[in-house]
Amino acid sequence: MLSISKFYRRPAIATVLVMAGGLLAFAAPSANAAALTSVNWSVTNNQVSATNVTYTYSFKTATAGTIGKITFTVSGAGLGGTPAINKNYGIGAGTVLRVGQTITYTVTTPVSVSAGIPIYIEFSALTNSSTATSYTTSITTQTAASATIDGPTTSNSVTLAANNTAVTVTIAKSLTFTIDTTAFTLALDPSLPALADQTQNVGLTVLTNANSGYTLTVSDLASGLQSSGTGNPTIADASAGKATSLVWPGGDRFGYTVTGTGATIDGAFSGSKYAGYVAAGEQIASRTNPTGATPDTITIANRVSIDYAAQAGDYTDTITYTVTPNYS
Amino acid sequence: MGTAFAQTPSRSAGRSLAVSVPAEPPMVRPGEVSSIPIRVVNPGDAPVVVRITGRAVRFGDNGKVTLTDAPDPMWSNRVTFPSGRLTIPAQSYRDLKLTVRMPDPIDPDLYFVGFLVSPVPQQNGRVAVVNEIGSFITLDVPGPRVRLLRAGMDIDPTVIGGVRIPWFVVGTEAHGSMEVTNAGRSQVQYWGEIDGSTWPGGAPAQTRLDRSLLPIGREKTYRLSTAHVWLIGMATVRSIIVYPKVNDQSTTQIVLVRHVLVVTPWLIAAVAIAIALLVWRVVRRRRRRRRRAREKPARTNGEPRDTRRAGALVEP
Repeated sequence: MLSISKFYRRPAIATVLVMAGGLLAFAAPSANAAALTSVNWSVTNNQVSATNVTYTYSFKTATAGTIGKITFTVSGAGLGGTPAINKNYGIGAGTVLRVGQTITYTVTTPVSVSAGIPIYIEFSALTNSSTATSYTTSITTQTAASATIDGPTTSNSVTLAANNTAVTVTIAKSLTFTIDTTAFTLALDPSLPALADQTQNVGLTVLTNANSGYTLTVSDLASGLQSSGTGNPTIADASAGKATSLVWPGGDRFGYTVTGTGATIDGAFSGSKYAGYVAAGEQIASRTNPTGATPDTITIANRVSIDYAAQAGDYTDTITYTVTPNYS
Repeated sequence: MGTAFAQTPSRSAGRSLAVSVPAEPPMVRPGEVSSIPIRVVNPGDAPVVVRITGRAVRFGDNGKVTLTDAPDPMWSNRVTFPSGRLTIPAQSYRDLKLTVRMPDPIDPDLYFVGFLVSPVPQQNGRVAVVNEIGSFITLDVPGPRVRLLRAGMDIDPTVIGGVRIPWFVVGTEAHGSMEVTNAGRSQVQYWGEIDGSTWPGGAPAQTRLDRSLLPIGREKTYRLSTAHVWLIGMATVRSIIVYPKVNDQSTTQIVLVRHVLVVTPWLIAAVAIAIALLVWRVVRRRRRRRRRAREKPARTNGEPRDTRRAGALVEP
């Protein structure tokens, strides 16, 4: 009986020892606090005493743990401002507070963060120290109870100076819109098919850095393609708008179709379908991201066909293409 | 003899125009008069004459912007645009100012002033073509405000026999979408991340969502996909949307998590083949057993039913 009891006791003792070892390993993280990796600090303005400066920190966790706070202690003295949280990635939402040289980011709902997770935090509205020298930031991740998980790890140095040239590059939200034709005349003659049905292409190009791209709409005058001759005759639209686009119907008609690269062309124009312009304007192309350096090209084929039913004269219209960058 | 002259089609040269506005919203306090810079650029080879007029801005979902045909009544007599015809020399630009007189009182929030830059058409042909650029500037009236976002995330479900199974996907990765909606009464600038991981698999992939504007009542949709799965895996998508709640010193977040079992078609095919082989083997074994069972009593009786085989057996 005694030998059986010993047999069962031994693994139990071993289990208790393993669990105790595990608990000790987790209970004293500060003793094993590792250095954060890939630590980087940058500022948007390195002039001494500059206000509204954004400090950007990025690093990777070295140890898995429930991060409740991250402290950023800038060396030296004179750090000012009431920082705001501009962005945070890899760590949950939180609150920022600056006391002296230390900026503390407190996570509202701490959750476990694995090792090797990239963390990126931007603090805006800071004021640089008035002392021109080189600075570093010491970064520490902590539990909610202020036990250190990783760090303190010293960042790269940033030099604040009074006699250097502050480089602040601001890139405006911009959009360039080009047309290759600002006006055209089609000389139509009903006596010859080649002269009775003519097309004028208008090439558009769009470049933008708007994150959500742009929208291109087109409209014409409410009077349409109209002559100032007796009775103000008009050449009818190919259709009442893009919703009723159709293959070229022939006869006395004025309409357009759209093709392009880069932009998303409205489906109404697939299969070489034509639509009539509308005065209220209609969207014909769009894009949902920036164009980059390669412009989107959009070609509008303006087509007019006539027969002997069309009254002779000069017909005019104004076609307006409007590009608006989308918000982001 | 006469000669008929057919008038040949003609077209005029092109025109290029660009408009730039500040990337970050300028801060304007209630009652303050502020000059907001805009730039009109002429990258073309000929001078361009433009007019700038105010327009109301209408926001749609997913970043879409439209300008109305009329100025915004909110800014009536409060925004001064550069007046008259403005000539922009070839390959040059003009830095212009919009003067804004903010109402007082006005709630802390983001406000938008829309405008249209229109070239004045030079009528060289019967059909004039105009390239306009619509744009808007954003103004930030500082101060605490209550922001509220809602978000939802769905994985594209697998449909088997009309039954939608959102936690199971046949393929190498799962796809889905996330919608973020501004359900509050203030404009919101938010950011966030979409983290994808698989088990078994490597470290989670972090896709960052840049700081974006979401106007009141508008929605933005993101397409998302899980990490690649090899044969079979449990994919997890974790989306986090972060935004300032009341002031800019404190943020709040929406966390959405979805788990989905991803099984590649190759694995399904291999399992199907294995099951088919197993069934075939079981069936074959049963047939053999039955045959043996039928043959055994025949041999014990000494009277095999298959007379042909029996004959063969007795052959010397």
